[in-house]
Amino acid sequence: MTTTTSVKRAPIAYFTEFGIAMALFVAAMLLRGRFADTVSDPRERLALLAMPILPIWLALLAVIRHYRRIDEFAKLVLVRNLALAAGLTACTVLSYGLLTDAGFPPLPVSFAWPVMAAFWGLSTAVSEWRAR
Amino acid sequence: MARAVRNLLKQLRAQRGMTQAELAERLNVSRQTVNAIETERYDPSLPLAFTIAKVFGLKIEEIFTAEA
Repeated sequence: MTTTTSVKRAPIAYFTEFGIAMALFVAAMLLRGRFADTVSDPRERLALLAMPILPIWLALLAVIRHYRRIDEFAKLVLVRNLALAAGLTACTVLSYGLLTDAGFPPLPVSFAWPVMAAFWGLSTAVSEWRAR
Repeated sequence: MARAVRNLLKQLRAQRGMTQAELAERLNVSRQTVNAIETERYDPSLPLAFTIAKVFGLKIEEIFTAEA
């Protein structure tokens, strides 16, 4: 495969790989929710509860592979959007953490991921709109 | 003092009757990247600037100029 083809196909390859990772994640979460209470063996229970971990890392791998395929300007935009999303997430999580002292319900640490995904999606959408 | 790099990419591309997509294909970048360079929202790396110069058969300084 030539580099040109690689750059042109980068979005398709990324959405395919990321989509597969997310589909596996959803499937693992459904299985986890369906069978978590029915498995009594500690090892089997651990394996079941840990199932979504692999797709999470596959999603990260998809992002890294995407980064390696895209051109220099797209790399800059991706990193800038990720940094913005990380900063916004840190502020949001810390702000909410402070509000829990005032009686707001505590949320699990894993809540930070969908928050960051939302901010990343938003910053990417703004970038795409500006680059039209 | 703010630095600005100006370029003639849009004019050169128009002279040769190329679309942004066609130029992007030859430079092995996305159309968005060509658009960002043309609108001077992004200054290309030196390797990409060399590739651009090669595609148009010009020297880098004939396409890109630094404005004080």
